[in-house]
Amino acid sequence: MLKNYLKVAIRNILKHKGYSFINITGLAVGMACCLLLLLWVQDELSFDRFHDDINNVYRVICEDHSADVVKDIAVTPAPLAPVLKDEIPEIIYATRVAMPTMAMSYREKIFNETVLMADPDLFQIFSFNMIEGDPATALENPLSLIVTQTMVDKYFGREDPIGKTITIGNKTDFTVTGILEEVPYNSSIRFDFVAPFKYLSESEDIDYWGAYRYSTFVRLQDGSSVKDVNRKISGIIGNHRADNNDRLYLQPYKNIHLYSNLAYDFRNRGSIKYVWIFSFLALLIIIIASINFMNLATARSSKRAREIGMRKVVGAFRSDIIRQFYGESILLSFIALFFAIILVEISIPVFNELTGKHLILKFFGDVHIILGLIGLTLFTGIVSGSYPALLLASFKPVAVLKGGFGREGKGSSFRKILVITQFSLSIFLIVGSLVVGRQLDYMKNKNLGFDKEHVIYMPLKYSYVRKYNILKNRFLQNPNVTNVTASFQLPSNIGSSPGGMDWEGRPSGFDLRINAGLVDFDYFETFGMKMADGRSFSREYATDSTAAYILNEEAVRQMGISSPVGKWFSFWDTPGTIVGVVKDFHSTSLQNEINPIVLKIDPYWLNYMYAKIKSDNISAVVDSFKKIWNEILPGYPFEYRFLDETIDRQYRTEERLKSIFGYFTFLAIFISCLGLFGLASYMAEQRTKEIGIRKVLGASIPNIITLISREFVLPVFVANAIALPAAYLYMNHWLNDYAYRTNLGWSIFIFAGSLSFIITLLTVSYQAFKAAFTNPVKAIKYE
Amino acid sequence: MIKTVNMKKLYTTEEVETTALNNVNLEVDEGEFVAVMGPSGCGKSTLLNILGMLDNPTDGEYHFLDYEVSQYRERQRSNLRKRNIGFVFQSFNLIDELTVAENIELPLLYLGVSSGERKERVTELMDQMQIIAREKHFPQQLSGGQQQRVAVARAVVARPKLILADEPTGNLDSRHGEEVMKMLTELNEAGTTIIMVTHSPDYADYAQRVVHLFDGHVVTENITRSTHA
Repeated sequence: MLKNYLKVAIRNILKHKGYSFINITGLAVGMACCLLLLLWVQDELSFDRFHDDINNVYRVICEDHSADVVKDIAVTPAPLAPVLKDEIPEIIYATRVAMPTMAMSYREKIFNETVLMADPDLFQIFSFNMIEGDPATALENPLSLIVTQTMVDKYFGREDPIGKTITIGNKTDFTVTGILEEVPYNSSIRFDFVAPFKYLSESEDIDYWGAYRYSTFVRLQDGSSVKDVNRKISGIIGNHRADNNDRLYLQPYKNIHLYSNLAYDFRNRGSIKYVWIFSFLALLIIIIASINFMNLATARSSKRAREIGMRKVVGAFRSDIIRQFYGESILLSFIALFFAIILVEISIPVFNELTGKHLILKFFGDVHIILGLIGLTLFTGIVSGSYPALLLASFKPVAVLKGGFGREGKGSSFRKILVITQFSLSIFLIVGSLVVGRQLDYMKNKNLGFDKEHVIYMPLKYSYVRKYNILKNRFLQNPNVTNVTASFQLPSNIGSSPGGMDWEGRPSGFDLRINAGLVDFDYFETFGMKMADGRSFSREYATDSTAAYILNEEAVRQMGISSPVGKWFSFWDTPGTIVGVVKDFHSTSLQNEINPIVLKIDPYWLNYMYAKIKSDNISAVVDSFKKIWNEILPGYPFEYRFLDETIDRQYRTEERLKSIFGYFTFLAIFISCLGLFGLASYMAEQRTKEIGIRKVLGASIPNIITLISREFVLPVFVANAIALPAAYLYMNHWLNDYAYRTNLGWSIFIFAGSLSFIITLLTVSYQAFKAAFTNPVKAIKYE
Repeated sequence: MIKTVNMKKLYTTEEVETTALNNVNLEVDEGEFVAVMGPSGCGKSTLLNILGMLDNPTDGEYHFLDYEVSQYRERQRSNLRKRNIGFVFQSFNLIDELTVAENIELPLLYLGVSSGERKERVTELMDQMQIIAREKHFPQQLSGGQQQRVAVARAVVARPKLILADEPTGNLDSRHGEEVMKMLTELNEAGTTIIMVTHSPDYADYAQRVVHLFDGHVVTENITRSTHA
């Protein structure tokens, strides 16, 4: 029986080549899109899952009560980890982690790398596997160093690194004691080297409970109750520090990638929101592709009616027929899968480029992938075969064997609903991608309140920040450099700094979370920031370097100070005077509102050095900087970036979303058009006789074209009526995540609507013209 | 074998109700060859469809073998039909995508006959019907007469007790028409009951009995002399 079904199916596929081509192409493109998106989703979901005991690994989160607004932060004090391990029986392993970027040198090679500083328990908590060396002892000596495989290749080439010496920060020699397997690309923690945490005790007090700078990770005993542990650890900081109300709790490590959004969290996190959006997109596209199949299969149902009738006459049950047609759609899906895999193989490098991922499709050896592919194919086959199978199985042999079968085949109104669905989804996607694109343009082009163009910046390290002023003076000698300054954080990313503050006229009990920017002189001048009141920092005032504050307008507004300039202000227990008010600028991503900011001169906490360059020949200026740098700071690599590029990179998620949406919208429309084309050609064929008669009776060519086109224009009109309001609501909701957002102007909707009509008419027109120009004599004879 | 009691069939559309069959009382014994005649629209095909259990009567009884089947569900009818009834149609109704042999084999597939036996029975029949040379051909490659022979072969391959033929000669020239009638007569002689709808009095003469239908009624039943037998 199966053989019989298969034969009929294959002969049908071969007999109706155009129809099969449309079906298989549509399904293959749809499945390829779906596969790519699902690979992306799978990759996001796979983050950190490679750790063997992931379900017992947690990060300690601190609920920070130091200001009025309670805030969860991902950093904790250094002494916490050892205390947790000692005092809480359920916690069997604990490590604190710092991840500074440090200058590493071996012979003539010198680069900035990320160094993971951790306790030896690191290897008991996480599954970072050592290729050489003993994880239990490799971090025992404070000057030991574990190297990842890539770094071995980068620094040592073919040499054996064990026992070799790498110099960190141009001053301390570390001995390589182990080699680590490459950190998997889907790991939240990413680093190049591992060094002992205790090495930090050379430069800071790692027993101090007041500095929240480190991540703390723990592994619980199997079967421990997280609730119990949370209760036990909650007030631990208070036990070691008077007047401290901060609370601790555990965050499952496996949730960090997709669900965590804390202050001082890992960078490059994902978001469950995008996992949902991409899964949804995959589903939409597979539905659009399946609808093609349903439409064409039911439109052509009359061609199969006799076969079904006859099968029923000789004894086929309804269920036999249903099974047969499910079989056919599944067979077609498997053929489509073959082409989909080829398409995926071809397009995966481009997709990786778009998404910034390293996806590969390995077919063999990975049971999940094979099961996933089979699952996707069965799903596609069953979805697309469902309606045709049920419709065809319902044929009454009495009706079909006499040849008295309806002109359009059965289910023509259901087909209209399917076309409407398909176009609604496509129009929704068009609007979606236009809105994402518009928001992106808006964010990139919005006036940030400071000038980001022609500014390059170079990271500074605490170890050589004292040389900053020498560098500055030398850089300024270049006539193409207008200004040089420095700051603790980038002007586009001024984060919050917990700390007390007080000011003249502060209502008692009123507190405020403020973002603090530590800067050098010439800061406002370099970025072209305008003063709303007072003056900027100036060397002419001796107290400016220690006791002068500049607030932004938002801070003044929230604090409610009238005429702030000259008033007394204290921050971090340092009293001083407000010397000016800077006009508001966007000190974080445009997703957020403008926060209150206080800016203060600081000679040491400077992480970035900026130079405003006036000439277009930036590379010549950069070359001269490099020369000066290497002369003043030998042993530290010269690195620079463009400020505008860095700021644009804040919107990388939106950028990726835009291009992914764009491509997949195009493909969804392409698939829909394929189906429409097939449907139109089928309809023209069905109505050959009618069109012939109409022409004989005097219908003009435009009449006929209108006749055919009208059939499709109406569903698209309905699709617009459904999709445009839905897209408006959804995209409005999406934009609400942005504090600064573009408007959903009419133009987007008019454009999307018109586009859908134009595409429909273009698709259908070929068939409409063909039908209209057919000689009526031929058409009538044909029947 | 067949007995209908006051059998009725109404077709209802939105506006009109048409009576296709009205109080039809008909008995057919095992081994009979019955022709059904009457003008277009008199209900011949409706009768045949109900007798073949492709359709249910609106009212009345229909006894087939020992079963009262008028209220049977589709699945029950299908089960009974595939074991007992073979069909021959005016328009052959062969499946275009299947070869001659595969078309003939089809009923056996739905009966779950083993592949060895299927092959044997199909080959034997094709041999008998002199279409063995056309085994691998598709229906479109055959003449009308050949197509109808394939259709007859398909109708009898499951060795049914009853063959229902709806104008089996309607699309054939007289030579091929005669040929088909001969085949049916032979089958009847071998014991198969045959009910055949026809317009042609000549072909009706092959039957032992002719039932005349008019406006849904059985008007007369004649015993023919079976001149061709």
